[in-house]
Order: sequence, then C-alpha cells, then structure tokens
Amino acid sequence: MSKIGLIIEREYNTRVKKKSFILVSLLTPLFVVFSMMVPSLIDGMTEVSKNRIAIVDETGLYADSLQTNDVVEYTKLEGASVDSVKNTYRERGYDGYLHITSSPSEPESMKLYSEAPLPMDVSLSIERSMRRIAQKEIMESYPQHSASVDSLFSRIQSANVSLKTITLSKEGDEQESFAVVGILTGAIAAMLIYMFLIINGTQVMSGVMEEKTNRIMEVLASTVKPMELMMGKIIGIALVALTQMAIWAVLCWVGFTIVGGVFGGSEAGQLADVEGNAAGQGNELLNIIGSIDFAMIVPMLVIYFIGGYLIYASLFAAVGAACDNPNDGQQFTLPIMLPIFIALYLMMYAMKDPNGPISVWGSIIPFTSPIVMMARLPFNVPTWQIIVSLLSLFVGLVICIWIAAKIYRVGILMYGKKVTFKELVKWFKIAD
Amino acid sequence: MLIEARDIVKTYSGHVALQGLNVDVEEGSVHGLLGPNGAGKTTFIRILNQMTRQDSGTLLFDGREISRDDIENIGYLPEERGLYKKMKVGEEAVYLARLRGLSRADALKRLKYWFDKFEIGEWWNKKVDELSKGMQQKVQFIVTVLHEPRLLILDEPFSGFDPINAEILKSEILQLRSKGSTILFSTHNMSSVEDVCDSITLIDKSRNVLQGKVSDIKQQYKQGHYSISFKGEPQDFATLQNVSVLQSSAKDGIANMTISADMSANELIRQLIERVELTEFRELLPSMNDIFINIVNEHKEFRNE
Repeated sequence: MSKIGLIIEREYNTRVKKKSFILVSLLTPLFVVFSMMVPSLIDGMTEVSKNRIAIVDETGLYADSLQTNDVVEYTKLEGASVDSVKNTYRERGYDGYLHITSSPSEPESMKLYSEAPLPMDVSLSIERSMRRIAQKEIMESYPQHSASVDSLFSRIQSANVSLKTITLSKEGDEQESFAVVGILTGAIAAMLIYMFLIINGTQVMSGVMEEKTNRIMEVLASTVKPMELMMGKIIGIALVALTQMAIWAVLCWVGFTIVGGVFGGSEAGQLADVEGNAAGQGNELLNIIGSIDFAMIVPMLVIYFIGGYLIYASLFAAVGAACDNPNDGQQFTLPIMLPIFIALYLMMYAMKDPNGPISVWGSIIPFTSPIVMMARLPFNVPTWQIIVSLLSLFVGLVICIWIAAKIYRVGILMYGKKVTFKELVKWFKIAD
Repeated sequence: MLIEARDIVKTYSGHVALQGLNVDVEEGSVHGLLGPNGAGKTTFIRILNQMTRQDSGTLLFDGREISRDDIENIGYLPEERGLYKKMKVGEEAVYLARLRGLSRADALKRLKYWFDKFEIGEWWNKKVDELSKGMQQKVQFIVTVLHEPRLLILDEPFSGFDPINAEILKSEILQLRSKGSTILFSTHNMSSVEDVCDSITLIDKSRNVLQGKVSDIKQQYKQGHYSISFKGEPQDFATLQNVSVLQSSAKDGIANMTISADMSANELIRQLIERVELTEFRELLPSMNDIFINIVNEHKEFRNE
C-alpha cells in the first residue's frame, strides 16, 4: 500500500485545518475586492477632469461613434493631416490624439498618441467603444455570411480590438507603450507565482526542519522511504497552495459579481457585470478582468506554478534536511532565493521588452521561467518558445528532485553537525 | 535465529561506525545490544531498519537477506523520542499506525485497547504538546508496538520514564515476548537490562567484544565471589587458605570473600565450617555493569599497548 498517500493526506489535512489557512483564504479575496472597489468609489464621487482627445479618422466612418463621456472628450478633426496634428495637438489644447486608419477589428488600425501617458480609463473607454463598433460590423455583415447564429454569437463575443498606445517624446519620436491589461495580467500572474514559490518553498523547508528537530524524523524514516517522505510533503503542501488559489479565485469571482451587481446599475458606480458586455457605463475594472484571456492564463499559471514549485520546494526540502535549526539554514536559503529574485528582475525587464533575448532566455531557463514566462504570456509568445520552456522546466525539475532526494536521504539522519556546501556535495555522492 | 548479522561494516565519510559486527538474536528472546555511547548501536539499528545500508557484510532476517518489506515486521522506538507537537494525540497515533501498515479501523481498535491500558484515553483529543513527557513516551511506545511486530527495537526505552512507569513498561515488554515478539534492547544502562535480557551483544568501538546468554556470561566472568552468613567469631577467617576476605561483620554475621581461581566452592565451605557455623552460602555473580566496565577497560588497555 502506498504510504505517500498517507503522508500527503496528513500534510494537507493539518495545514488546511489551521486557522491561519482559513483566515488567509477568506480575507485575501475580501481585501482584493475591497481594494479594487475603493478607487472606483472615489472616482465615482469626485469630478474627474476629462481628457481631451483629438480624432483623426482616415476612414471617415468611426469618429462619430466615439461619444464624449465622463472620461474622454472627443473632438473630430476633419481633414487634418496626421503630421500636422502631431505637431500642433498640444498647442490646440488636446491631451492626445487618436489615429484611425481602418476598421477597428483589423490589427494596427487604431493608435493613440500622447506625450504624457494617458490614464488607463481613456484607452479602455476607446477600446470599449471600438469593440462595440467591431461587434456591430460583424452583426451587419451577417446576411452575407452563411454562418449559423451560434457562430455569429461567438464571433461577436470574441470580437477583439487592439488599441496601440504610443508615447511621443518631445522630439517627436514614437515609442509603443504596452497594453496596460497585458502588463497587469502578466505582472499579477508572475507575482502570484513568485509569492507562492517563496511562501510554499519555505513552508516545505520549515516542515522538514520541524520533523528533524522534534525528532519524529527517525520514526518516519524507519517506516517510509525518504523519497516518499520528501515528495509526500512537497505534494501535500502544493495541494494546499492550489486549494488556496482555487478558494481565492472563486471568492474573488463571487465578490466581483456581487459588487458588480450592486454598482452596475447606478450612475456613480464604475463597476458593472463580469461579462464586460457593453452593459454599464464606466465598468473599467470589470472590463479589465473581462478582457483577460483566462482560458490561457489560468492553466499556464497552474502548470508553471507546479513546475517552479517542484524545483524550489525540492531544493528547500534538501536544505531543511541538512539543517538542525533555522539559523543554519540561512546560508543555504540565500542561494536558493537568489534565482527567484533574479527572475523577478527579469520579469520587470520582460514587461518592457517581452520578446527581447533576455526575456526569451529568462523564460526558458527553468529557475526563472515560471515567473518570467508568466509576464510574457499576454504578449503573444511564439508557441515553440512555450514548448521549449515547458520541456526545460520538466527536465529541470526532474534533476532538482533527483539531487534534492540524495541530499535529503542523508541529511535527515544527521544531527549536530554544522553542514557546509562541501558536506552536501559529499552526501550527494554517497551511493545508495 | 530471527536476526543474523555477519561482519557488518559501515563507514561514514572517513569515520568507521561498525567494523565487522556480528549479532545473533534468537526468535522470541529479549536481546540486549549494549555498549557505551558512540559504540555503533544506533548505526546497527538503522541498518536493521533499512534507513541506511551496510558497506559490507550480510544481515539476515528470519533466514533471508533483510529487505524493505521486513519493515512492517519491525517496530522501532528511537532513543530520541519525537512526535508532531501540534497534532491531536489520537490523530497522530492513527497516522503513525497507518504508516506501519495498519488500516484505520484496526488502528482505532488497537489504540483504544492500549490507551485504556495505559490510562491515557482521555487525552485522545488533546494536542501532543499538552501531554507530559511521560505520557508522550507512552504514546510513542504504543505506536511502536501497535502493529504487533515480530521484532521490536527499543533504543534506551527506559530513559524519561519514572520508576513506576518503567516497571509497567518492563512488564509490557515481557508480555510481548511471551506473545512471541522478539525484542532488541539497545542501552548503555546495564542495570536495566540484567533482569530482562536473555542474551546480549556488547559493542565497543565499532565491534562486538562479547556476546551470548546472560547466564553464561555471568558464569564466564564470575570471579569467585561468595557471600556468607555465619555465627561465630570472624577473626577465625584470618587463617583461611587461598581466600581473601573482602569484608566481614561479626554483628550482622555476614562476610564477603573471594577464592583463588584453582579452588572450589566445596573447599571454601569445608574450611568455613571448621571455623564458624555457616547459615547461608551464596555465590556472587558479577553484575553486567561490572563485566561491561571490565571489558571496556581491558579493551582500552589492550589498545593502548
């Protein structure tokens, strides 16, 4: 009979029943929902100064559909050339200008230029309006299509517009600034992984250390194989983390739905229903959430979390086994934490330049890929890179577990020795 | 033989823990693994438990090379006791029992029996760290024996027990033996072993220096000590031939004496009854403690030469 199941069961049950687990699981979503509500509430109560945006519509079809609202005030500039607008928009009192070259459903069709970055609300507002236009176009094209109503419906649902926001320097140089939603999604996902790696990795380490210091290790090691012992703990804690993630996801969703329901109808509210349909005015926040490609992000988040976690948790387990007390552990935890910190820096870099060589390498090397790849994912990463990244992640975790298991096996029975790196290498070499 | 260990060698990175150890443990006996701290007892136990492997030598369990599957036939109480402090007593006991291969239902049934027996049933739902040290020891002992292993390895079982509980423990151990369990006792505390062990292996400096039945060893190491009770004048002892009187007291009428190696007990009795009225005559066998100290010291001298 498999004893690893018993170990996983114990790790899971004792941790899930802890008050701290229940509190963190329940309070975090509450905090998240609340903290995201606050800016909307404040926005709703204060008079926001509107951003003045000039429109240069070369198609002549769309400018009229952009209606001034409480965020943006649009002015259509008939017949003006883009170049002249570029040079004069500031003097004429505009915060930025929107250049439309073709139908919004086509790529590169809309560019929003400004010198100072515009508030997120502006680009979201434009995107929302343009999305509605794109949906209308699809609907109007329906009679010529032989598609069924279902497929029409799904096409309307998935209608996507991409607004490029471009920052102009004083000299007039153009630089694309990246889609805010993409950056936000990537950063949040990467931070989630970063947090989970560190929190759960150290949990594994202190768990192993606890078993060693309170001496139950001897009893355990005499009944269970060290590998089962180590993997049981690692998997048990991973399940706890995934449970927590799932609780957060469900509660956040419930929270936003409720909040959306309450504020959706009111004029002052900035929140509307989760679907992000054209229902409400100013449903910025939920629009952001609605525009995230969850179907891609969530599975990847889980996969990269598990992969990265297995790598770091096994290393942390080895350190826990090597040390009698937390103080001894510090010299070893630093080298393990270091790649995680490096990954965090690479992630910040990757958000600026998602497809640069450093970002690509960072998302392939297994020690940094879980964090870096999460930040890159919203920016159309080539499929081959994802595959290479996942493969190297798998190879990396197998190697790390193998090394860790060898150190762990020796370490759990060693007491009273101050362990050095040299010693660890020696343990690693000890034959079975 | 339940355990036959031959020429077990184990080295840890440069340090020799066992250097050709031989141990035989008969099924159904209580065997003492004796030796000073650091002699290699724990290393041998860990090899038995499959926690580590010998570098060379053979270890047979019930006539076969010992394997991972034998673990479920072994119960091990380590010297350093440990339990998860934050778990509930009952939960933890069930968990450890299940790790040893018992089903939950079985574990619950047997635990109830033992908890009642040790009168700790009311602590079932308490956390482990609320228990006194003695009670934690009891819990640990219970989970060690719960799966009724053929071989029970007890490393310093009496440390941490008060005399009353140590007595209870001792009688439990003997009961387990009478039910057919084999018990391997590891200790450096010789006096605790004397009245429990059938046979012993004495380990010193990584190798065994003495093994056999306790009674045989005592015979082998007896030094001609006798204790007598008498009526009469003790000064008459001065004329005893080949006898040295260690102590005598006229008031209590007792004396201890040692005879030279080539003299028989009968000869001593013959000499004694010529001088005093002998009411009691008893051979004094050396305690395991004395033998142990003697041998370890001999070894020291031997090595120093």
